[in-house]
Amino acid sequence: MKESTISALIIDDESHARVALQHLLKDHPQIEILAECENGKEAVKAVNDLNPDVIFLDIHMPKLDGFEVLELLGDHTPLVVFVTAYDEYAIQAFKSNAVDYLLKPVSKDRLAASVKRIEERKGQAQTEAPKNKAVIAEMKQHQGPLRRLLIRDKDEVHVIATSDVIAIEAADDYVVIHIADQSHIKQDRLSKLEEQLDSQLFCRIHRSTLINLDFLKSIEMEGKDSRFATMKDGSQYAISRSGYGKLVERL
Amino acid sequence: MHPLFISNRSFFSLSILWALLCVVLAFILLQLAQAGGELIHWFTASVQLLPWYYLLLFFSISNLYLCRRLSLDQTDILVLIVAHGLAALTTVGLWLLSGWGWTILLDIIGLQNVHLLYSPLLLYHTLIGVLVYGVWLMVHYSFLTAAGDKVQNAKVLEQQLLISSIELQALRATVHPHFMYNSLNMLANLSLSEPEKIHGICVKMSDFLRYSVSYGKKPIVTLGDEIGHIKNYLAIEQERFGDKLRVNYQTDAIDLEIPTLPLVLFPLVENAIKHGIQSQLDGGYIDIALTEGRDSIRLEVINSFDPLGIKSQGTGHGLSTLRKRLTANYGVAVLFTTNKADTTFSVTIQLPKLPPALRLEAMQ
Repeated sequence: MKESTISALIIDDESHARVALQHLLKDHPQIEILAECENGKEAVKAVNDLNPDVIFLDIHMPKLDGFEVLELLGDHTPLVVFVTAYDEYAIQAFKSNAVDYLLKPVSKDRLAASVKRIEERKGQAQTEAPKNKAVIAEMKQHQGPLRRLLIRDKDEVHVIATSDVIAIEAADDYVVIHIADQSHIKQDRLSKLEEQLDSQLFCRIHRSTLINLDFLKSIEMEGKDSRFATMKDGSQYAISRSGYGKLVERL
Repeated sequence: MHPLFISNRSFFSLSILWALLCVVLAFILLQLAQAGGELIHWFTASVQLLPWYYLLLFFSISNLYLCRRLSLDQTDILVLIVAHGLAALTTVGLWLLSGWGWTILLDIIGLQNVHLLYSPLLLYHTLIGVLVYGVWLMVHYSFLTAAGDKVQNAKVLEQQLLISSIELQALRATVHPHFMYNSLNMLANLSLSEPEKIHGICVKMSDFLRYSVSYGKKPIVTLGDEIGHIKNYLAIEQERFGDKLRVNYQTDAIDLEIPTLPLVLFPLVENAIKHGIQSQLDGGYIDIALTEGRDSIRLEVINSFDPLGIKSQGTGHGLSTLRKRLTANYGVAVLFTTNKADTTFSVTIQLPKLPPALRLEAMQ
């Protein structure tokens, strides 16, 4: 591989769009396309496996949109060029430190400018850390309570409905998300999740536990001051004194 | 303000008419008075009767205000009779009193025999007064009823305007800008990869647009037209989605010549693409089934969707517009149900079968 070669991934759910972009990139031989991905899940896996310099990322895709892909990639995000038919995400895209924001159909001149930018950015040493998380958190605040949780387990991406979540426990820098028969680990803070989740549904019963009230079966006393929440699947979680206050208020 | 006074013209013509009537009445009354054997000069009669009777016009049209207060269909009949009876007595009484005063005045001035035109004819004056009052009462009530009709007509008109504005909205929504963007993108992409496909897609797109723009304005089309339209649309989307879009038509059980409103099916299919097919990683299906009953037709669109997929913006706007439009056109005869299961969404619409007379219209 030559020094100046730039490895790239094309991520778009429409095959036409991928083929067309590949066509257009033929004018720029320094860009070497490692793979094409037709959805966000594949993209997360491919970025992990192939470690490209740049990704050409569509925003509107089923299941996982472009911003969610970035969220899941976290600190391992390569350079990003958004390629989309809509201009309403341009500001967010640049806030997330994207190299460029191309509108479909992509013009040849515009793509040439973009390739130039990629080359410049690649030349620079890791300048700024990507700010994906801040941008995504900002976006989510406008969308109301969180409806789904994205979990990345090595190469595998899980999308879980928040209504299926029984409880979430904090452990150091990450959280353990319990659903029926399964638990997932996600790098996140419990207090942040509590803010994002539907406060009608989730209750913080302990400094380190958030439960889904829909799955709450009973509250049991054990001794004078210790209470446990028993969930419908049989699991039990300790309730703190202040947590009990919140729970009583809610029920 | 009485409506008569609003325009000079109407007031002027009524005045002249009324003056003529006064002359006739004065003449008759003069004859009646003279029947008693006394000779009364016509000048006396004119001076006494004409201004006084002319005044009767203003006395009697005053009842318009009472008529406005007591509407015919909202007031108890007894209240109506008592109120108007009392009003008539007061008005005619006042008028007779003014006549009495006028007669005395003329007598003092020195006009001869004026009292002969008043006291002996008091019964006639009263009768004429009441009669004129009654006639105006009727005139006012019929005027008010007609005006009421106008208000009602305005309401009907407003309703029709609402319908057409809903339809317009529906039409605008028809050529969805996102669809245009997507299709243009697709054409641009194909021009690089498979240029030989472009011509066919352009033909389909122009058919699609033609139907949306011109057929959409027709009041009635056939179900066959409608199916042709959505087939066109889905063929374009098929090119975009490839094997991620699986469409199944069941249209054998229906007469395709049945008339219907234009653009009834399109919002259902568009919704299925937007919220169904686009939400699934591996795509999904759309089932379109049309069946007919004896008096009704049934349109059903079922699609798969991913409950954990990305939520599309503008949820259900197309469907709610369609529902409003159908209700505005067919009234309560429309059954519009949506059903959301775990991974399937369905919309069922039952519409009355339009009379065959409309079929001819649809053919044009």
